[in-house]
Amino acid sequence: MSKIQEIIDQIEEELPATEKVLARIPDDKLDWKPHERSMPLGQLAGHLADMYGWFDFVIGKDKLDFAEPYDYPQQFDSATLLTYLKKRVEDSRNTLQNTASDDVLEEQWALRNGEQVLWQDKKKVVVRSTFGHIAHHRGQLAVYLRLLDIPVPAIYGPSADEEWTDPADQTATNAAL
Amino acid sequence: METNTTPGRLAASLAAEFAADAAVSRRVLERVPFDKADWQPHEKSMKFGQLAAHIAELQGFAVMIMREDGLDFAEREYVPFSPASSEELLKFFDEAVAASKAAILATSDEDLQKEWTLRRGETVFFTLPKIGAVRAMVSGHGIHHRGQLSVYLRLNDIPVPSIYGPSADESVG
Repeated sequence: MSKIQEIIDQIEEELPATEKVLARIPDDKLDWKPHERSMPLGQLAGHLADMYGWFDFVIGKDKLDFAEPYDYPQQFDSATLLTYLKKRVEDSRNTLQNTASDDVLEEQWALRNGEQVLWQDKKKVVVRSTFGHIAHHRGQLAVYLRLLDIPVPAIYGPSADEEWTDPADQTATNAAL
Repeated sequence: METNTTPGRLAASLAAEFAADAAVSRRVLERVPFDKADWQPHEKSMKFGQLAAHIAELQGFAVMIMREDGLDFAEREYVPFSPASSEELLKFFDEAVAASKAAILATSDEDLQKEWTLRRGETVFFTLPKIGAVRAMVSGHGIHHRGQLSVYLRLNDIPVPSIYGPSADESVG
C-alpha cells in the first residue's frame, strides 16, 4: 500500500471518534472555557474540524503562511461544525487522491509568518504532527465535555460513560450521532 | 523475529517519530504535582496522577506490539501503574520509552507491516499493520491523554508547555 493511501486510511479510521465529539458540542456553551487562559469551546471545536483539511495544504503546497489570508468560518455551532468537518475531510481527500507518488512526502514544508520560518521539516513529519495535533485537541475537548456533564464518547478505549466498539463501526457511530 | 542488523528505513523513521513525541510528553509529565495526585476535574474523570501514569505506561506498549501479533484483554489482566512520586513516574517513563525505541529499531520493515490485533475475546477493536498500531495505540492514544493532562495543568494554574504551538504561557521552542 502506498504511504499516501495509508494517510487517507488513517483519516477515515480516526474520523468517527472526531465526529462523535463534535456532534456533542452544545450550541449554548460555545463561549464557555474551563479557565480564563483556555480556548473557548466553540473555537477549540472549530480548530479541530479545520485540522482535517490541513493534509490538503501540507501535501499540495510547500507552506502555510500566517501572513496570508486564511479562509476560516468566524462562528461555529454544532451543525456547521459537522458540515465544516466534512468539507475539510473532502479537501484533504481530494488532494491526497490526486497525489501520484509517495515521493512528495520527502519534500520540505514550512510554517511561516511572512519572512520568518516558524517550523520546517519533511512533509512526512508534518503529516505525523498533524495527526498528533488532532488527537491532542480532541483529547482536550473530551475534558471540556466532561466538565459540562456531557457524556464522553469512547475514543481510544471506553470512557466513564460508554463502552468501546470497533472505532470504524458505523452503526455505533451513527447511533451516537 | 528480531534482527540485529541495521534498522530499516521504516523502523528508523517510526523510532524517530516516537522519540520526538516522547520528549514532548516528558515535558508535560515533569509538571504533574504529586501533592495533587488525587485531584480530578470531575468525579467521572481520571485522577491527575493516574492520568499521568497511564501516559507513561502507554509509552512502553510498543514493546508488546513489536513482539506479539495482538493483545486480548480477555487473556491478560490490566494492572495500572500507580507511581507514588514524580521521580517514580519519570523513571518508569524513561525506561518505557527506551524499551519501546529499542524494540522498534530491532524490528524489520517487513515485520512492521505485519498485522496486529487488539481484541477482547470475540470483539475485535482493530487490526492494523504494526506500524499503524504503534501510531494509534501508543502515539495517538498517548497524545490524546497528554492533551487532557494539559487541561488538568491549566485548571491547576500550572504553566502549560508548548505542545503543537505556543500555549497561553510559553512560546515554541
